[in-house]
Amino acid sequence: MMKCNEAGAMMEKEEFEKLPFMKRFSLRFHLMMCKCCKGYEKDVTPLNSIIKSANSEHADTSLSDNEKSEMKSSIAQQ
Amino acid sequence: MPKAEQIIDTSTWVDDYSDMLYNFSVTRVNDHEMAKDLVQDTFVSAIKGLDNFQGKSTVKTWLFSILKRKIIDHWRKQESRQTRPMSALGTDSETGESKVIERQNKGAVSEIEINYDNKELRSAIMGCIQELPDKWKGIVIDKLVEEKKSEEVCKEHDITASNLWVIIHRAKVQLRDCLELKWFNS
Repeated sequence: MMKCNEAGAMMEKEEFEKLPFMKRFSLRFHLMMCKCCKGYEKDVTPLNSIIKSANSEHADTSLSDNEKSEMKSSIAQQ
Repeated sequence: MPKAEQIIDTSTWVDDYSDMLYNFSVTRVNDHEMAKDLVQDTFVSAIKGLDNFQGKSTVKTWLFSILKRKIIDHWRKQESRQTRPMSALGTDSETGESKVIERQNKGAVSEIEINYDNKELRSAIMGCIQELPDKWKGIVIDKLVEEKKSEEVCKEHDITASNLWVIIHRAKVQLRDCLELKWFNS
């Protein structure tokens, strides 16, 4: 039987690509038997959505002209 | 030796590259000042080491490779300062059982309403990502935040495809525990 580590990894992979038939089958079988992994299954997708939101609030912002000229002069000094 | 210097005009670097380097850096360190300092340090190191730049890659690629090393150094320093409160969590080892029960009392990740404008949720997950081990941190950001292709992430971090999913899984279990702790206990 598939071990928990592999089952976990397969659940992550399945979020991005289709698993081969046998892997899919072994994973479903494992999830039927293992309460622990079954419990994680419901978190797999929401976790990815939450992690995806971890883009910094500063992302897609640029440095101000002021900061850039400060940077230029500090670089010139070193 | 001076061949590189003759061709490369470093005076336009800040205007040409600082925004893209800053964006990359701030996503990974989640701190405006620190991200800015890392970009500045990158330019300084690059100018000092200009002789080592052999024109095999573009200036942009070269600057990014320097910045990546600086970010990893920053994470290491940060990690050695931390007491790593989360390191004991995240695995379903012998003690896993009691943690599962404890967790259920507080609330589960699947109950969190995901709203991309929710600043608190974003700052909670970013804080949790910062607590991941260095090796996992970059992989999680590349794959799950920036949604790069798996092959690209494996190549960048020099890991196999099956290793990628094992690391992603372990990291996500730690992130789940961290998030549930932060989200439902505060």
